[in-house]
Amino acid sequence: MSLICLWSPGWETGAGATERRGEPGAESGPPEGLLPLLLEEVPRLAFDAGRGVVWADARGLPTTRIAVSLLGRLGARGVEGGSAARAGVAAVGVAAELAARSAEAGVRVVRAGGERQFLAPLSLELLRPDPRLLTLLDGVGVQHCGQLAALEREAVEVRFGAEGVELWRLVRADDRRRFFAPIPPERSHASFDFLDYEVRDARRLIFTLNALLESVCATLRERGDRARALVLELPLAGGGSWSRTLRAALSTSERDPWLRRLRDLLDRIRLPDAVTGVSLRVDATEPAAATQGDLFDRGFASRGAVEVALARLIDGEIASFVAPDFSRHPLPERRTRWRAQELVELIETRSADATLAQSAPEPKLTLQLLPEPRAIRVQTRRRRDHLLPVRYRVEAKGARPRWYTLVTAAGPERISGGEYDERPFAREYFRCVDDSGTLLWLFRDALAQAHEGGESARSASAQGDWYLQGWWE
Amino acid sequence: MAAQVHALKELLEKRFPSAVPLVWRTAGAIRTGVAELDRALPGGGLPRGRVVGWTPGPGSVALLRSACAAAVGGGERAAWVDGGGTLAAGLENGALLLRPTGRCQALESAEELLRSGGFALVVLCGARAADAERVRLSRAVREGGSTLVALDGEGFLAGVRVSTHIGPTDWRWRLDPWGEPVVPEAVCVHARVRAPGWNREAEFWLRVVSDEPDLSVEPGLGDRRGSD
Repeated sequence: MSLICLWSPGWETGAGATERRGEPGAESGPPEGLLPLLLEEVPRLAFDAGRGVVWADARGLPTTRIAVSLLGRLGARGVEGGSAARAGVAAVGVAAELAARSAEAGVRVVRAGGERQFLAPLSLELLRPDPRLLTLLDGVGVQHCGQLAALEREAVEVRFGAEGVELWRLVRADDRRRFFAPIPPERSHASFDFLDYEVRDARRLIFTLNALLESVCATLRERGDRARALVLELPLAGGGSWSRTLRAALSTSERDPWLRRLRDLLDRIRLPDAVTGVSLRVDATEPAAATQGDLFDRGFASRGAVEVALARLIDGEIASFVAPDFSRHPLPERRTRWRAQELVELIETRSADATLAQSAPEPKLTLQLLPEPRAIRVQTRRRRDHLLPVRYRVEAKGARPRWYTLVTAAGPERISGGEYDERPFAREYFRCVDDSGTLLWLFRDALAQAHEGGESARSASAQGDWYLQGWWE
Repeated sequence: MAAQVHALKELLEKRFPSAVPLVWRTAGAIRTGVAELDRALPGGGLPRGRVVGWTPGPGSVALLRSACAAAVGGGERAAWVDGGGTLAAGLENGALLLRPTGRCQALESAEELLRSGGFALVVLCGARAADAERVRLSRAVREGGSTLVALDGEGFLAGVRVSTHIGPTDWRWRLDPWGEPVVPEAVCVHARVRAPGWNREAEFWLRVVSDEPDLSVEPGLGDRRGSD
């Protein structure tokens, strides 16, 4: 016997029950403190609000003694409905439930193998079937479980439909309900303790980790899983432990990518204390599954190789894949923020775009921005209310400086702001074509003198006023 | 599995040294999106399995962005390794944009992508390769069958070399009522393509995107541009 069913009239919240209790809209959850109290005795519980029963998984436990103990706890702690609770013990769920419902008080045990005989004399009403079905059964003289169990399945199906068959199965002690969710398998892990020595240099741990990783990855492959994250835990000699979670861009059960990540980590860290052991466990997994792809997509065949290559670049922190997020900031160098993309995003984006975009857009010259504006020397002439650039020179490292003549200059376009939330700025932008044919974007910092100490500094800061923001290419 | 495929490829290359993967022939060259330039390129576009040396110049980024978009539009992959970090906007059509952490990382990224064999086009800019690195990249191109366009790719034994040039008077401007230039609208690009036994020139117009700064300080305010 493995199941204990606890039932109390006060726990039922089904339509019929609420009518009986006169509390329409009563809460459907278990009474407060009920489940924590019961979990002190049994490892798993399930509360069925509709039927007003608590299922307790008592596999491998002395069920009768546990049931008595549970009822005792309920009565002693004053849980709502606890004093009226009764318990049924059986190997089959329906038998345990009806044992609880039909018990006068205390615990009622159903002998293993005798469930059907136990159910036979009991009223069908105890199973809480649909009232309409109960009326139909009553109309043909079927009132007890044994009478329904004696009928042929086909006859029940023809006359009472699927609901009737379900009830017929129950009264024959054929209970297929699953009361508890399956227990997830233990995650792969491996550990090693240094009994006679301590390790202070983190890089020396790689040999041990290599062996542990082999074991962890072998377990993953056996289960058909791939690891998304690994946790490295190092117990310290002075007590406590040091741990770090490693995440991979591409979930895998292969040893090499994880070993590479572990080696990178150990090269970077400094241990706070000597280490007395190593523990490695899988923190997140996903099932190994192939991706359904489009055979007409030319990139489909190489998807696996591309995923591995991209994951290697992301995991190795060699490069990040970025996409722009544009804002309305008035300063061009602060307008675009680059957002790192996840591997899944990269693959999904490509698949979607490949099917949608069959035509290439018309090529256009676009603006190329320097990460930060570069100071340049500019010669100007006065035009109306502003200075117009006529020549410029870029002081580039390793290159011979040369003056370029600006054959066309359009502008100025003026921006200003930043009075309240950042450093004030005021700029005059010019789009200029130089004698090599390049279209440049220059600006004059109108507040340069103010930044550098007022009018007195103006004569000395002829170079600092002008900047190269970017060019069109 | 990957090792077995690699071994098989090596065996085929040894037995049939002049063999070319079928996909190179069936897929054709990669279009740049400008018919005049495609006609000037040998094979009608950027050749697969080769290094293309592209001298940086006006129009080079526009044409290569368009080639990336064309590759992705055709169901393949394209990537742009932005070593200099100067690309101000993303790439069209979902081509991948990489920002490496340094010059060596840019070269390593390009090599990894090329070797994977899953990219039709990889553009490398802002990272100049030394001798040994150029050899590694060339090998990766051959193994993966991709096209590598090296902007500033001096020293590469490139099968095709492209350079673009714009003269100071080749810009077409929108003028204000007083006849002064305000916004560049289009530009005439002169391209030169060289390959062994091949020397062609092309001339075509490209539009200029002038949607750079919306210069108003606040989105709700009008632009404060011009002083005349």
